[in-house]
Amino acid sequence: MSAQDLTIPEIKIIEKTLFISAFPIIDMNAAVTNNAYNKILHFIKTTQIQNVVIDLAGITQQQQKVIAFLDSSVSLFMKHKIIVDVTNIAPELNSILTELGFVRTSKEVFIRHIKLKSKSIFLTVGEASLKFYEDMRSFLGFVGEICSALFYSVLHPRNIQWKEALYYMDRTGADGVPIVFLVCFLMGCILAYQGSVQMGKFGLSIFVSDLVGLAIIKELSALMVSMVCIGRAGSAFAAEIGTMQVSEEIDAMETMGLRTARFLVIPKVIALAIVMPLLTIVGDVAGILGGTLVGVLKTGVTLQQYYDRTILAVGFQNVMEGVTKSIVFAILIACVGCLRGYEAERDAKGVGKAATSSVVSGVFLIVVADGILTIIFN
Amino acid sequence: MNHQEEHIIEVENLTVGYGESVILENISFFVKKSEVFAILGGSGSGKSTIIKNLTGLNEPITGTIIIDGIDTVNVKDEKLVELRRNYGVLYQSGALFSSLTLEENIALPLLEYSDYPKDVVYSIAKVKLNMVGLSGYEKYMPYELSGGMRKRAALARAMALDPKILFLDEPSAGLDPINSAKLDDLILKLNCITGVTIVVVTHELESIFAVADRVIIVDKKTKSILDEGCPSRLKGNSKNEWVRNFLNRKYLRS
Repeated sequence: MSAQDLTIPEIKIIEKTLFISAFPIIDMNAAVTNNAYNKILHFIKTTQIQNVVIDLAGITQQQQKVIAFLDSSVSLFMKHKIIVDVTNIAPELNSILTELGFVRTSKEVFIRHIKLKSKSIFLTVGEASLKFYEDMRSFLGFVGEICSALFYSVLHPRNIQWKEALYYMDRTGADGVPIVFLVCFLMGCILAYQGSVQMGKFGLSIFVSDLVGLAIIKELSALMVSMVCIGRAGSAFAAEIGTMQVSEEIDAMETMGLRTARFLVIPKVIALAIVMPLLTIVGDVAGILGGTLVGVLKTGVTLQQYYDRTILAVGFQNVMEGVTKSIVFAILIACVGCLRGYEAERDAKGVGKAATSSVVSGVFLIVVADGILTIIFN
Repeated sequence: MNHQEEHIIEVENLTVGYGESVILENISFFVKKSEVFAILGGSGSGKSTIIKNLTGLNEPITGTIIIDGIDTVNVKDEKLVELRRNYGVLYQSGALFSSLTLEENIALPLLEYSDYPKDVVYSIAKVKLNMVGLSGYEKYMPYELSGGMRKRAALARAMALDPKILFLDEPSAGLDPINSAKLDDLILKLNCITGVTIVVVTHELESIFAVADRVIIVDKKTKSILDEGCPSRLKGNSKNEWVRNFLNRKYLRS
């Protein structure tokens, strides 16, 4: 045996059968393993191998790297539909080989167990449908629980966790004012700019104020506020409840017989349902201010004219439309955030996923709800 | 005393698991009133799963669980919520509510279920904290405490409503030997003073010998109960070799 051969397990080919042996005399470090693996790959590509015999003579349980190499190379052969026999196995290796998926075919020989075929499409569809059914069941159960908790809270307002609700109002509401103001102000500016360019072509610049006023108040303010609140509050709710799942706090509450929805969901729903309409009104003002700034500077309409047109165009009913939408959005955001938190898997990744999916489902639900509400209001 | 009165928990032919994977099959055991009952077994043998099934957090695959004369598997949800007020549960992690102070943690179930005025509720919380040696920590948040203190505070919360049964899931997990022994003493003290039935899940042998009146040993491989009885008797005379070895900390090489 040459010195060259000693650097890797002995790999030779005799009449379409590949023999791999001489494991014990070498140290299977990364370089040797790499070499051996490449050599096997080379043989597979260049020669027509029909079967492989791997000789494990002298291998003990301690040589874990050899066993790992065996596992990976056998997988490689199987991928190329080459039959593998593993021989000369020390009895102590029996259990580890079985656990790695090898099956004994005779006293001496192990072959790799052939994996099950991939699932039939019917099974996959069936399982997916069952999962969807389970998801819907848990979602409806959750909605029911929230409704019953809300009903209870209306009947027993003293039992509402007002301290918690105030805390969430402060965090989601007061802290959110600057960002809501900024976003809506810019939205107003953009709308006025786009409007003045297009409407100016027809000499309708005076109506920019109508466009900005109605769009902001009926639609965009509530929508922008809800986007900000999904990011700020919805994901935070999901992460908070998800973390409580991880630390078994929710289990603890349930085994105490406490209705967790009343403690964890209702304060959040109430806080958002109070705060989001207020934020929407802030957004209305900011948007109109932004629109006024650009409208007056860009179209040459005077401040007084712009103000008069806005008052004429926008009615109290429109303001209430936006506010009502924001209340519905608030309930959706809080509920979806909490639901995703409840559904979170009990590890760090699960909490992250819950936060993300609360945002995604929140955005989707709000857009759908907005569509429905717009049809209803018109 | 008739049979029903004597046994506060009766479990018959219980099969538990998650989804399709069965962890324990057809196990039956009972817990006597006011005893300290231990569920012992290796990691992953289904000890905590039994507690989850007993407390109604998980539904068993098959079998019946009768607690205080009521079949908890087939009971309606509202009734189960009511039943749970008779249980105290101490979780592995303590599971104190992280946004509340210690006294608020203990006061929460009291405010919810009792008619005591608020001041009295907070006094009860104070007494309960004193009972577990945490006087003066009423206004602390859970994250400000050490692991052992958190466990003791959680024990105080579990005892808030003076439950009939206290479930302890690995109470001494993650504690040093001294704190672990202190917790064992506390468990015995609670059992002695209040007569509460205690079901404790653990794999800490010292705890078992220190506190348990009776023990069952569950096994992952056979998915069954290997033996049951008084721990010190089982240590010498269990009919099952594995149990004897386990209790004597012997490991037999195959």
